[in-house]
Amino acid sequence: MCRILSYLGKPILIEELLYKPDNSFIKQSYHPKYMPHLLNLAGFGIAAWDHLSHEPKRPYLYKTPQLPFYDENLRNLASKISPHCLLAHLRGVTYSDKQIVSLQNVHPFLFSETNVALAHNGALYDFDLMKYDLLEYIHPDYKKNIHGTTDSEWIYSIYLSHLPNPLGNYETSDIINAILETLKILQRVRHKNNIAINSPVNLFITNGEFIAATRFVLDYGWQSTDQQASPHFSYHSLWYTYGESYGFYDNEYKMKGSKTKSSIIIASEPLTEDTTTWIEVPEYTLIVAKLENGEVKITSQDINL
Amino acid sequence: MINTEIYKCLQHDLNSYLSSQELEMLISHNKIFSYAPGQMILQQGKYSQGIYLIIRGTVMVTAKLLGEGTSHLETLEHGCFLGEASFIENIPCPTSMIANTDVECIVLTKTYFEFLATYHPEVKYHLFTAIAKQVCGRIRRVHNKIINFMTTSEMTTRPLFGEIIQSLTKPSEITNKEERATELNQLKQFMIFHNYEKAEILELLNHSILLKAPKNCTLIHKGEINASSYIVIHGAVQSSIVHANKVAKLSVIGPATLFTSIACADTDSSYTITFTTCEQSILLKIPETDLNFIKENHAFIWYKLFDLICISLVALEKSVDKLDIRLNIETYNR
Repeated sequence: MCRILSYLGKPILIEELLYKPDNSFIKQSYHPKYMPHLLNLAGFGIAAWDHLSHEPKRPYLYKTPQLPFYDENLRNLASKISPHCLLAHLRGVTYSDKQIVSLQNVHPFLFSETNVALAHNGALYDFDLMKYDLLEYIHPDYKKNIHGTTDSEWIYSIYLSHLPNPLGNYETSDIINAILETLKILQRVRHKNNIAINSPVNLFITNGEFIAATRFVLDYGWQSTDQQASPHFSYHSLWYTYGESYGFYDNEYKMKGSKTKSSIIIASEPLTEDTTTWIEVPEYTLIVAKLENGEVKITSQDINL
Repeated sequence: MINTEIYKCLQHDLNSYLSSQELEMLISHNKIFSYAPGQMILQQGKYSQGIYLIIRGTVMVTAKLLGEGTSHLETLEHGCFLGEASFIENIPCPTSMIANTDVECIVLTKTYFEFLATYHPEVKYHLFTAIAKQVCGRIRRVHNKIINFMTTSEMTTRPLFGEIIQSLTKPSEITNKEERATELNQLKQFMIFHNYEKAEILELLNHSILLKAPKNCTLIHKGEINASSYIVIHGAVQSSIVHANKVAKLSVIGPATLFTSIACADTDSSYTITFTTCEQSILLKIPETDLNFIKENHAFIWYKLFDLICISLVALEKSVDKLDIRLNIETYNR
């Protein structure tokens, strides 16, 4: 289990999201509100887009396999950087010596050919059995970039391979079609390998201009005998809140209400204990948020494979 | 000594659910709280410590909505329950309840419900019946609002082919002994049966059918007034509102969960929630006739079952509320 936070809208000081709210993102690494039986201690990464930075279409990227709550450098950076878009990920893996905790496995993934980044919350059951059958769906340019051992990096490669181009302005339909195609490929390859066990695929994708997120599980409700206690058996959550801007208003952290909704947060769990101004995305759903004339537009669609 | 004025108020509201003796017990075991106009009774985002029943006055229901300010949703009067969703589902209150006038509420606490479950399960059942009726009323109102939205919305319509396939897809009964034993053993482990005696589970199973349903198999159709209940053993079931050949999805029901047709608590045929498998699924079906048999002949099993029916209705209430909010925010399925 992992935790993911994404933001699109008015420039915001990163610490307002990572450190300040009572269920802040960094706090979710050692005290997650949802699925608290597994902590998210296997790495932290963030991609952040800033209009005023050098090469604004490319994000600032920071990754570490270390514990983020002990990371003084991250704390200092978070108090200085104000991006208009970010994607942050906390990696959570089962407590096992078989897990590989390394920089190469820290999300978000971002290949050099593109500015589209992806983070994943979930796990594909029996991934080692199926992964080489995925190769035929990955563009040759991306195969060489897979350095880690996660299923997420392979999913990212398939997604990129189904976008019209690696860099550009995407129509909402391009973003959605590439997601659906990626999920169908996973489903097809699992079927080929007789894998029919519960596997969550909550994806967060952004290039600084849109955020797309899925709340989806392949073969939901079918656990293996060894998976009874697995954190990946339950349906992983996905929430969003939107409004004029996020900050400390009326003695609490929340989105400021207004007719113009110019900021959105999409996250695995709300940043505050009080969830009244957040909405949970239903299961089998994908949402895409884009800024149009300074206003957030949200498109949602059922995932029917 | 029972306050006769309060007794009369409650009798007026709960007459069709509780006997005079049950009403007296309710008054003697629970405290009455008074609220001045403007005073907060329950706060959105906080957990309710009980179910509140309005005896006197009117209560404003308000909510901080996503990206909006605080909105007034409705006004409730005597006989209405407050905080039932928070209490039954153990979730924060989805709305705030503010006294509009001088208000008096009787607060039915967790301790009282535990006492009822142990010593007077029939009274708990009668109270839950009244609560379920109110929950269904709210589901109906929001359902109708959603239907109006869907009528004019540009949501995509279901392809005719898919609709035909779905109508032809039926679940089949599992008759293989070994398969039945495996699935039923799994079922017996579910937390929802933690307060059932072994004999009660066996009796329930005697009145149930073990089904295997393919993906996209509709179990409760639009307009179907059939008071059946189902328990998901494997797979998942999607609840939806279907109207004008468009589908608006509510939520997904996974393993170890009971779901029920609205008809279990409300036979109003003007609205239905449909239930369709979204994965291949193994289900335990308790048909309407068997539910009625259990109700008539095995009261204690029925009371426990009705607790689960009530939980499923409250979950449904939460889902229709969420869909209502989403339809006003998102460009959904277009």
